[in-house]
Amino acid sequence: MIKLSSFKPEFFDNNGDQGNLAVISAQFSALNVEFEITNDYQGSDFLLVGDCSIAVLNHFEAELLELLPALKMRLMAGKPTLLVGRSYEYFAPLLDIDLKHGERESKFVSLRVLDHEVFGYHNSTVVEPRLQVSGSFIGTTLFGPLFAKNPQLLKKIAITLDVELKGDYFERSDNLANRVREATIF
Amino acid sequence: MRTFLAMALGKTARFLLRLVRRGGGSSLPGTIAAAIQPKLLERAIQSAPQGLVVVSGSAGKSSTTKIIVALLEAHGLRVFTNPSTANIKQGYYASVLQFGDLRGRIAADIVVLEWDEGHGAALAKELKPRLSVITNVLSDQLDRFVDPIYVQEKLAEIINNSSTVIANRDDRNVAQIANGHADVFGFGLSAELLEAGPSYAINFGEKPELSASALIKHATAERLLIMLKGTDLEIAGNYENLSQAMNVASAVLALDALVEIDAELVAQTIEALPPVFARDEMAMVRDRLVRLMLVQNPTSFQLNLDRLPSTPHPLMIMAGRDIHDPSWLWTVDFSRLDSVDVVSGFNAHELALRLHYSGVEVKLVEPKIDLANEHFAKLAGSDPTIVFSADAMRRTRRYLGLAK
Repeated sequence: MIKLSSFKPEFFDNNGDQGNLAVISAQFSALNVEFEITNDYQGSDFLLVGDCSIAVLNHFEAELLELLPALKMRLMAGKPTLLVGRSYEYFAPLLDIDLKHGERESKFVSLRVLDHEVFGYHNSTVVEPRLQVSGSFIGTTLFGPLFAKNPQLLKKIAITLDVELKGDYFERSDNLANRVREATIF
Repeated sequence: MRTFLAMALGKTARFLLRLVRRGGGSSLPGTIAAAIQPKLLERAIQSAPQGLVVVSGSAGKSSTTKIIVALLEAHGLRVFTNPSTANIKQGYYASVLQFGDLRGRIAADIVVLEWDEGHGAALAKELKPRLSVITNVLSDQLDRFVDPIYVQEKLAEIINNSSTVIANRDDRNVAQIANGHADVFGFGLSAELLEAGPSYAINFGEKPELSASALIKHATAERLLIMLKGTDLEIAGNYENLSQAMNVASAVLALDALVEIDAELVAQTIEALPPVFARDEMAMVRDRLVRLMLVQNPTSFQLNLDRLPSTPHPLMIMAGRDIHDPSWLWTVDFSRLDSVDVVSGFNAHELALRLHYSGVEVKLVEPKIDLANEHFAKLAGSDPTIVFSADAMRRTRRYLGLAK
């Protein structure tokens, strides 16, 4: 049974980041893959920490710090993890990810990673890395439904969980994502 | 001379644009006028002897503004206001061009403006409102505002530059910034209604106690009962939507700060008000009544969806260019819908992707507004409904000849 978890999803969903969990769940359900969504942040196979407001970050800072040892291990092992937006920016220096800052930019961006294009909405002062990928550990400034828009990235993550995304549902999802990509103005 | 030139050229541009673009608005005439006379708005407001009232906050601005305007007019004042959704600087200039004379003066006793929370902060320092109504702070337009804390800062600018403030006492984001003001009056829900009330941007800070100057005691499908500074005021109507009840309470409280209130007239006026422009309106489109619902943020999208009794047919949802980062569509729960007949607008594919992952069948994705409307018009069904964002609304209304 694959364990998926999201850290305090009701608070860490600033830009629809919990959609990523919904996307994984929908793809797994379509393939009849057994999974559960759990609050076991430390022991989950996939962990999402979504974007949050400044107020939420300040309020939950102590609990976020409790996650740090587990995140360090996940990063080293390249274990499926997604840190988004302010959560990524908060943890990056603690995980020795060197963020370079500049002028704030609020726009769609397209990035190259793992020989694939990854796109999404960026609204941050972070210049690089806007997408940090170590194995299946991802930190990013790209908000919202990253996996929905980039199903090929999700496919790589799923393989780490011993799931091969394929079939009608995945193909339809991929087609829709391609339409979104074609309509996006960068 | 600059004012005369700005008004003359702006009015001409407005006239010419409306000849080629039936019923449609444009920011161009206002931009031209503002470039020639940057103080056009300030001068227009100064020509109204009873000063400036502004309504700002994340949501509820249009409805509240409309109610205040109607109430002031019912109490005998001539009011200058900006059209709904034209709530940024260019929109104000456009209104001055439309209603002002060639010397930039407006024939009004008082000015009531809906202020975009971002643009309003900059204007507040120049225009010094006599009274401001602060509705709420939501986690909204994050692509623009980045974080609710910055919206709070902008609204604080408006508050600090206003002589009197009407503030939402239930929203701690608002209460925190209004609390230190010398002349502030609070509006909100009674303790029994609070739990069912609107949600605001998450804030773990202290909640200062503002006065309960306008307290909503009952809000049902039949009536609204507000205790206004100790006196009950009853208004007939459907107030199950507590956000709308809050809008009314804030408007009545604002009126009370501006004029001597005639309670009976207040009730009559509010009871006679039509729904705010396309918020939830029935319009005749090609010989059939179509329900039009405007959605501007996750909160209003969810409220409107929840208001639908079931999946109506035909149903068209349109996500226009005004949704800069469509990520927030993923915070809306679409699960009550079985299917959507047409998805349209600049962000049609984004919306279709969201609906796909919600398990909602999408029958047609047509980004072009005109083609989508043509297709929709041919679909049979007893509850034709269009849910659209502001940009898609403007384009649809223009295409269907509904623009006012």
